[in-house]
Amino acid sequence: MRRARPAMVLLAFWLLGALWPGQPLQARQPSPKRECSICHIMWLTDFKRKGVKTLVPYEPRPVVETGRQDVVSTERMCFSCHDGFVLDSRFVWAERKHLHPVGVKPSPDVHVPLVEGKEVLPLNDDGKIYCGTCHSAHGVEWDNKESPIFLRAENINSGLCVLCHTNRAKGPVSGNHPLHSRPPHPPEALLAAGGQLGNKGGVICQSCHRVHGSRQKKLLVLPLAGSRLCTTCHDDKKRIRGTRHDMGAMGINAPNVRNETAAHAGVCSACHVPHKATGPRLWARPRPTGMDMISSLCRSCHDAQGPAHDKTIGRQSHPVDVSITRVGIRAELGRWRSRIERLAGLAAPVPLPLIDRRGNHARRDGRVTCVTCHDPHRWAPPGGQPMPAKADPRKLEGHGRNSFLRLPHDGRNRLCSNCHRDKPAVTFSKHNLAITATRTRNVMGQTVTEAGICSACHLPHNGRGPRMWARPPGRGAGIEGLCTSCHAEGLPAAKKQTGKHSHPVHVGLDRLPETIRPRLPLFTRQGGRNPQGSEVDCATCHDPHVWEATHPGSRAGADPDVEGDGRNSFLRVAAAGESPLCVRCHADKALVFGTEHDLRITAPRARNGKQQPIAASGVCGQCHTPHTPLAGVRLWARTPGPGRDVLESLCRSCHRQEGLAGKKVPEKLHHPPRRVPSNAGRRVGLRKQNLNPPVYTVDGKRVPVGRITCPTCHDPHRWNPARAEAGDGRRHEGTVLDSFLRHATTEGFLCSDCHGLDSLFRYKYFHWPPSRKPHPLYEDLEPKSGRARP
Amino acid sequence: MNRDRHPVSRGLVLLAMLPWLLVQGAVAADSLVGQPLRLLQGRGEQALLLPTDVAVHEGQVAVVDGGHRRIVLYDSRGRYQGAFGASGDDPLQAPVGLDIDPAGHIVVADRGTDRILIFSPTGQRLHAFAVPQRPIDVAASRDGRELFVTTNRSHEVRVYTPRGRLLRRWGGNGSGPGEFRYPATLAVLPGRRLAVVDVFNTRVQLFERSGDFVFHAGSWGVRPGRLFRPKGVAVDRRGRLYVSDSYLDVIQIFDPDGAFLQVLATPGHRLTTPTGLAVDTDDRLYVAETLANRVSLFRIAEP
Repeated sequence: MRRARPAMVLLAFWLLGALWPGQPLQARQPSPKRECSICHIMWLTDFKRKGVKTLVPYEPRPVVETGRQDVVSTERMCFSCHDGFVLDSRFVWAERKHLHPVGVKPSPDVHVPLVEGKEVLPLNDDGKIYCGTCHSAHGVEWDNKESPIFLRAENINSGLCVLCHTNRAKGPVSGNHPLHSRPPHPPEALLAAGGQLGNKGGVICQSCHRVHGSRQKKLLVLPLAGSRLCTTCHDDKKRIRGTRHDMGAMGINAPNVRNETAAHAGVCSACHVPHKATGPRLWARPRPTGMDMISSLCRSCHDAQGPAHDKTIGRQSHPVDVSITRVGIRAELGRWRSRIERLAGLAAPVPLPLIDRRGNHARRDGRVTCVTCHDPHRWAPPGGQPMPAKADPRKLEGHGRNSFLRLPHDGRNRLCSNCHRDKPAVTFSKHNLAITATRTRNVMGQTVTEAGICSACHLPHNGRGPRMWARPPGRGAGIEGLCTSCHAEGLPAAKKQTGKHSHPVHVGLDRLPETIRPRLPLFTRQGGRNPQGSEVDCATCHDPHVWEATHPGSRAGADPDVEGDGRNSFLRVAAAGESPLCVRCHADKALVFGTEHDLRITAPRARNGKQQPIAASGVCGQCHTPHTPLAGVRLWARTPGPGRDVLESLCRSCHRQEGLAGKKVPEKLHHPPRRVPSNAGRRVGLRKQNLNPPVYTVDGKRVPVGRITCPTCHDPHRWNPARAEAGDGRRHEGTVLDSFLRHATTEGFLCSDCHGLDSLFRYKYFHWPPSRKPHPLYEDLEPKSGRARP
Repeated sequence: MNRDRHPVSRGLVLLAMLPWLLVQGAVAADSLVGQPLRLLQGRGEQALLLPTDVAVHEGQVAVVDGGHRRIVLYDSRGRYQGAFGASGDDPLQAPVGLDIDPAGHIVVADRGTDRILIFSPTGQRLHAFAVPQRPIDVAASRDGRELFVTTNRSHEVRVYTPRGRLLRRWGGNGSGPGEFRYPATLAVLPGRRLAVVDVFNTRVQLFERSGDFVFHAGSWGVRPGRLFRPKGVAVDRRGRLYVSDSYLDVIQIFDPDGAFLQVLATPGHRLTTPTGLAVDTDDRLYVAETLANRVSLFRIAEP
C-alpha cells in the first residue's frame, strides 16, 4: 500500500490537472460571495452539499456563549482576523474579563436608543448585548482609516457611549464626572495607558474607560488602587496620601456609597466617585442635611457619628456659608481686594476658594466654606510644617502650621488676616497676649506662642463661647462674658475691670428716636449680630483688635503699661474731642457742646477725676466716664462736691466755691426738702410735650414723687430750652430764659403747682443775687441766721 | 473551485475525483496522530497570554507571548527559562511571529514598532532594523544569511540580511500566484524553499528562495483540505506541511507537493485557535493555541 500511494497521488493530480485545467495557477479573482463568506461562513456552499462533512458544524444562527446571533459577529469570528496576523486587536482579548459586557441584558441604567421604533444599537434575539450591538461592517463609514472599527455610530467625543449611557452624560448636576472639560494638565500617564481625550482636549468617556483592552475593573485604563487613575489628571491631589484624610492609611474601613473602601478602591474613592455621586465634588458619602453643600461634605465624616468623630467642629465654630463681602473683600477674576485695608504693610490677600450656593467655585465674590481655609488634600500649606517621613497619620496631631490649612496659622496670623483685614492691628496692642499674658493658655492648653495671637482668644472650631471664644467665658452674657474671661479678678486683665458702676450693657436702644442710627454694632445675649433684639454690649463701643481707631498701625498700645483714654482704649470711635462715640447714641447730649458746660469754653485746662485733660477725655469725659467712675450715679468722672442729695453733689463738683464754677454757685442751693409729685404727663395732651420736671430720690433715682434738686430745673446739656442747638462757644450770663433751665416759663411748670404765678419771683429770689432783698413774702423761707446779699 | 465559474460536468468531476478519493482512503488508513506530550502554559508571572507563534532550535523553545508583549523561553522539557522584551526603554509593542536562526539568535517581528529585532539565545537584544510595512513573521534561512519577512501592509515577502539590508522582495496585494492577501507566518523548507501562509487567499504558497512561485497548497472552504483562516505553517523532516486554521480549530497536513493528506487527529486534546506552528528535529509539533493561552506539544505518531 505504501508503495502504491505515490503513484496514486501522482495519478490523481494528473487527472485533476488534466480535467480541471488551469485551476492551480489561474489567477483568482475575488468573488463577492467569497468576500462575504470571509465572515459569513455559514453562507459557504460546502455546508449545503450532501454527503460532505465539514470541519465545523452548520449552525446558521448558532447558540454561542454570548447569546443568539449570527455566527458572523461572534467573538471567535472577530478574533480570527483580529489576532495580530491580519489586524491586531489582541488587547481586546488580553484582558477578556474586562471587556465591555456582552451576552448580558442591558441594566436599567442603560437606555438603548430607538429611532422610529428601531434600535440604533441592536441587541441580539435574546435582548442581550453582543459585538454587533456596536459594530457592523455594513453601512458604516470606512473613511480613509486603514483599520476602521466599524462602529454603528460615530464615537466622536464619546457620542456613541452616551447614546446608551445617557445618565452618565449629564455631568456633575447628576453626580457624574464632568465631560468635555480640559484636564488641568496633559495626563501623560493616562494617555500612555490608552486613555483618550476628546477632539478639543476635553475629558470623554474613553479618557478613563477602554471599551476593549482594559486591564482593570469597570473598563478603566488605570487601576483604582492607589487612585492612579484619578491622580493622572488631579496630580495635585496626590498629596493626600499618608495624611489623616487617607482613609486607607488611617485604617478606616467606612465604605462609600458604592460600598467600596479606600483600601480597595483607592484613597480618592473614600470621598469621591465619578458616577452616582451624592453631592458636589462627586461626593461619595451620605451627606447630612440642613447645612450648606460643602459643610455637608465635610461633616459626612466630621460628625459625632462619622468616622472622624474625634475631629468635630463643635457648636461654636467659624461661620460658613457667609459671603466674603461681609469682611469687606471683593473677589473677582481670581483676585481679592479689600475695602477695609487699615494696616499699612499688610501682605496682599491670597485668593482662597469661595463657593456658590450649589457648591461650585464662585466666579465672583462667593461664600466662605470649609474649603476656603482647608485644602483637604494637603496636610501642610506652603511654609507650613509637613508630615514627618513615614509618619503614622493615626498618631499625628495637627496644629496651625498644617491641619490641611491653606495658609499657615502661626504667629504671623497669615490665615486669619487674609480675610479679616482689620484684625491684625491687634498685634500692636495689649490684646496681643504675647505682650501682656505670655503664660496664659487657651482652652486647648496652648500659650499664645503655641497657638498664635488669634487663637489665644479664638478657635476656629470647638470654641467655648460666642465668637469661637478660646477661653472659658466669664461673668455676663454675650460679648461681656468674653471680655470678663480676662477682665476679671485673678485673670490676666484684672487691673482693667469696669468697676462696680459701668456703662450699662444688655440694654436695647428702643428708646432712641428713630432718627438716631448709632452706627455701632449691637449684639444679642448669645453674642450674635442679629439685628432683631440686639443690645448694647462691650463690643458696641470697643473693637478689641484696634487700640486706636484713627491710627490702626500705631504701636503705642503695645506697651503693657500704657494707660488708655478717649482717643484709644480699643474704642471703635474716639470719645475724645466732641465725644463722637458718646453722641452716636446720646445725640441729645451733644447740645452741651459750645455751652458753658463744655469745659473747653469755661475751663480748658480742667482735668477730670482721672486726671485726664479734655483732649484725652473728650467733652463728655470730663463729667462722665463709662467705667470705674468716681461716683456711681451718672458714671461721674469728677470728685463730687457737697450736697443734700447725690445729684446736687455732682453739680457741686464744679459749682462750689473752690470748684471750676465757683462763680456760679446759687446763693440758695436747696429747695426745702419736701417730696413733691412730678405729675409726669399731666399736660401732655395740652402742650404735646411733657414739661414736668423730674424729681429724684436722695440717691439720684428719678421717681414720680421725690425731691426737687438741681436737675429738676436744669438740663445740664442744653443751654436754651427754647432752641435745640449747641452753644456758640462763648460765655454768657444766663437769664431765666436759658441758663440750662428745662423750661423758659413757669406756666404749667411744676413750681406753679404750689407757688402759682409767684413761682418765677421765688426762683429769681433764690438764684438771682440782685433780687435777693429782704421781702416779707419770703421771710418764712429765709434761714433765721441767713441774710440776703444785696 | 467555484462551480459557477468553472462549469464542468458532474461526470467529469466525479471521474477526476476518483483517484483523489482513493488517496484519501489510503491516508485515512495510514493517518498521522498528534499525541499530546505536554502543555506550555505557566502560572502567575509565567503564564502565557495569547501566544501567536513558536520556534524551536536545539532544545530551546521560544514563544511569542502576545498578550504580554514578550518572548518566553522554555527548554526542551518545557521548563520555563525566562522571558524578555516586555520591559526596558524600548519594549516590544505587538510581536506576532518569531524564529530562531541557526546560531540560536531569536528573531522577532514586531508589528507594533515595524521592526525586526534580533536577540541572543538568552534574550539580550543584539540588533534591530525597520521593516516599515508592518512585519508579521520572520524566518531565518538555513544558513542564517537571510531573513524572510512577511509584511501585511504591503502584502509581501521581503528578504533581508541579518543586519537589515533589503535583498529582494516579492508579492503584493492580490490573489494571483505569488500575490498575497495578508501573508502571515512562513517556514523555510528543506531544499531552500519557502512556505508562506496567505490568510485571505486561504492557501499556503511555496516559493523558491529567489521568490519564484512554485505552487500552493489548500483552498477556500470548510471541508477537509480546505482552509478558512490559515495562520501557521511548519514542515517536518519529510517535508510534510502542517497548516493551522485558527477558526476551524484544526491542523491539516499536506504532502511536500501540496496535496492534502489529512486533518491531524489530536485524541484527548481539543485545539483552540491554533496559530503559529513549529516542528523540532524529532518531528515533534509545537502548536500555539492563542485563545487557550498555551502552546501544545505533540508527538506525530507515524502509522
